[in-house]
Amino acid sequence: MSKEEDDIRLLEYIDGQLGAEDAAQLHRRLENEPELKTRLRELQALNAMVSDRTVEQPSASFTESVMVRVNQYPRGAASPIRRGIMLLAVLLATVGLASWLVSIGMFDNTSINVNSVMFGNDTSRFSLPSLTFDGKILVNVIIIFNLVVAFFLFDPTVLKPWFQRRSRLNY
Amino acid sequence: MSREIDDLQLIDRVLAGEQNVYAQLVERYKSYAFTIAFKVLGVRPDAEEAAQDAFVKAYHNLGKFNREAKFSTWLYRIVFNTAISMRRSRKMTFQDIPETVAAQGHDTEKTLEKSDKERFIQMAMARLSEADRVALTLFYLRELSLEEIGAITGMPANTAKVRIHRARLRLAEEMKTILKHEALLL
Repeated sequence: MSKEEDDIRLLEYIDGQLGAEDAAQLHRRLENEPELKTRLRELQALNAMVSDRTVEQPSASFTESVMVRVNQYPRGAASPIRRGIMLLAVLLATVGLASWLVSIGMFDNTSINVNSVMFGNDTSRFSLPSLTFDGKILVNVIIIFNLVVAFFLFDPTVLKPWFQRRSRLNY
Repeated sequence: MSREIDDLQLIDRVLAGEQNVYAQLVERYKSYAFTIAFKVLGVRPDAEEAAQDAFVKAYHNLGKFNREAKFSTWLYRIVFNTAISMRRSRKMTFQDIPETVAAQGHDTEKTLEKSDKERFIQMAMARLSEADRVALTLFYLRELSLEEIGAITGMPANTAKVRIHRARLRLAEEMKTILKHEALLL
């Protein structure tokens, strides 16, 4: 039996997890092997030194503090992460839809004349300088804005929780 | 009536909408939850925050709790993960002196002995891997079975058992080295 196997057997003996037959066999060996007996004493001493049954007590307001937080966000209310993921999904869906519409040329020949939008065809009394918006540029700006918001949401809602979960699974 | 059945009844009442019944579960498990967080973080305010966060997370995920499992094991796993995440986010190391040691400033011989003992254990623990340290810390609480420690730390029970046994042996060797070194300095 290797030294490590002996040590593990001794630890099981200290923990009271050795079966009766194995314990009897170990007793016989302990009587004949002084080195093994010394090792048992060392491990027993370490065990006594490190064992800590102290149960720490939290502050007196612990339960109350938990319940205050629980009552603030009742069960069923979406967590900030879940809300963030939903918002991220909506943003990405919007970007996808807008990109698709741009790609099929939906906004190629569209422009909005501010004068006609605000006053219709009756421009006799009010005449503003001609100001037109290119629909394609407007949609591209919306896409970029959505992408920027999605970029800032991606870290706290997806990356951070994912890496935290991965690091926990390494245990 | 066993505690597990009682826990399930309380959980059912919380799930049915009796939010305040959750306080009974908090009262029941707060000491060990706090102790686990304290063992991982070593600082009382952080441990309190982590344990509270864990109870709030457990509350929001109560619907996902597997009724075949023990509520305490499930809860302690959340506490453990929350404390580990907090420790990593605050870049704490095991060498950081925990309050339990640092707060002992009295000059009585007994306190010094206790302080020395804890310092040596701390030094030996610092030489182990993080996973070994955490597994040992939970083991030496003497409250949790090897299966429960495995469930809490996300390891199969056999892996947890082997890891703990090997870590105990490594700790014994480190303690011997440290005590020898200290004896030479005297």
